[in-house]
Amino acid sequence: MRITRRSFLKYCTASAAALGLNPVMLQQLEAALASDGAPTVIWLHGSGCQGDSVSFLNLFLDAPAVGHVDTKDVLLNNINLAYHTVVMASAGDTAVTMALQGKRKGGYVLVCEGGVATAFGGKACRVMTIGGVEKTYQEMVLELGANALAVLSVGACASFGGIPRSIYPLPPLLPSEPSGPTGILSVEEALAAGGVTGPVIINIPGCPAHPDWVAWVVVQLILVLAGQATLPELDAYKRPTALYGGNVHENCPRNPNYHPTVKATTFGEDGKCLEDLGCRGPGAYADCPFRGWNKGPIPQLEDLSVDPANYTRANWCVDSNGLCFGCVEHDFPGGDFYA
Amino acid sequence: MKITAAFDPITRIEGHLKIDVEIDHAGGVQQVVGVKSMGGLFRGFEKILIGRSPRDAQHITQRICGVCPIAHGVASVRAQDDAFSTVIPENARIIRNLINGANFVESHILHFFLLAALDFVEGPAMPPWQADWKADRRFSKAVNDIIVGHYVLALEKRRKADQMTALFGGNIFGLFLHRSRTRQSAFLRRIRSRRRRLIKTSRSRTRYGRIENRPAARRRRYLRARQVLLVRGQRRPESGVRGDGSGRPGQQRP
Ligand code: SF4
Ligand code: SF4
Repeated sequence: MRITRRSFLKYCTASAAALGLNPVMLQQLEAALASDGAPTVIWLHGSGCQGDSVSFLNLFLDAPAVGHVDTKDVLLNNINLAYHTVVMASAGDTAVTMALQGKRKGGYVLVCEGGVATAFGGKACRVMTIGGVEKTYQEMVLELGANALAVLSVGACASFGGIPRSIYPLPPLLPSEPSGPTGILSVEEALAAGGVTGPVIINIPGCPAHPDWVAWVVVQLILVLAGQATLPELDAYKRPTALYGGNVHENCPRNPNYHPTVKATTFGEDGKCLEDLGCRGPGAYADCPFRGWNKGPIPQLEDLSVDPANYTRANWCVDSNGLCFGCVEHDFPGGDFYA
Repeated sequence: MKITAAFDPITRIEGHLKIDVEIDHAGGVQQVVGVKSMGGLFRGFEKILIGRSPRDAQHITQRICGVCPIAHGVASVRAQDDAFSTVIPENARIIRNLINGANFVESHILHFFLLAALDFVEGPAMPPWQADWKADRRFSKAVNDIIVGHYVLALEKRRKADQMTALFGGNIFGLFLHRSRTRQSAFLRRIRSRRRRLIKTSRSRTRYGRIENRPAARRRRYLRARQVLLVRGQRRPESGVRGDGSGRPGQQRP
């Protein structure tokens, strides 16, 4: 089992289209990686379910030209993953030391998964003990965020509060009264409240976040750190517009030429628009209809109606006759899912 | 002499855990005399669900754990069956079991290899796979290497199990189920056609589905479901579902 940095490049080469890389950028990426440009990553888990980590394990590519490349290649070589409590072998003090070492060395990227609990003095989510003192997630986000090059909020909880916050805008609750009891803030809000303004903050929402989205941002960051690119363009919610620019409804295969198909009246009706059942596609901005939730060849839209026998595209929410819940939006989960 | 030590964080679990250990001499022998374990995360899912439509529970509760979401979703959907007095068709039961089974396989592989195995085998010599203790290294180098090979294989196999979860689960539990699926098209073809057939014939949501079209009935059902929560005292009193201001539980609007 010998894995080299090349496999990350292979991954990027083969999925260049999906990752939005052109040949010039690939060359630059190669240069960046050759000069040991792999950044240290400290991945903290807060008030979330760690589903983004599990989702990230599904990063996958199998292209004829480059062979088989997947998560292990990317993880094992290219990001120096100093701290990640789901996969790291060590625990306790040694694990903490690794995070602190990364911090001392500087030049690291902080990945935050999970919202920041502020109730009970932040004790609703405590993450580690340093020198006999319990540290809350809130404290660690501020401490590690202050010196980070960039802070990536992965998943809906870290980006906007998500389900632990649950802003439920329907009566009887007051508008924007969160029903989550632990005073969840998004990482961005928590950093602002703690007076940390230094690092670049990029939100990668989704419940869970798509592994490609995370990989895309990591690739961009490697390029930025090597001085080969500028920061990706972000929208008002600090989401990269390259990933979260398109509207789900407009690109939905059940909305060909902007004319939605017959509306479904019950679940299990293939090919019918789910708007009447509660689909939030019209308000969701992400590239799910193109990217799908698997690796596989990305087809042209007209291919979507073909016989399932030739159905090479990845599965995604609406395609599986499920609703789009708008999991990438700032108000997720919002009100009742089903109409 | 008494020694106390804290292990925090305990890694390779879902969640946040701290273990406090006390070691002391008892009867002339040094031994562990006290252990406390502490979960470090509280999100209050019960509170989050209050006030929402009951059908949202199957999606919200899946976010309790990213490793075993389906188990929570299934538990919630069964509770709903009870609340709505739904008798689900045989095919719906089969689909649910298939989804649950797929996730069962996925999370077992994940747990056995990614989470547990590194306590007993030596991982690749790089972060984050470097273990810092060698307490229970009872395998020979050869066996160790085989298991590490399996560890890498497990990453791939668990993804395939996840693919099955997504295939079947997409439209019943929705959101959390869109993980990858296999590229083996023959398998896909078989599974997809089977799933479509099952869903077409089962109408697993028939009861809910028909009601979807009738606003009055939908409202009645919705109020009834809220009433269930109300009777159990789980709703905020000021949010009275009956609209007459009394908010007392146990009384149904005529
Ligand atoms: S299913 Fe949803 S996203 Fe697709 S056309 Fe209908 S409303 Fe739009
Ligand atoms: S289709 Fe909607 S619910 Fe599904 S992942 Fe995309 S934004 Fe989220």
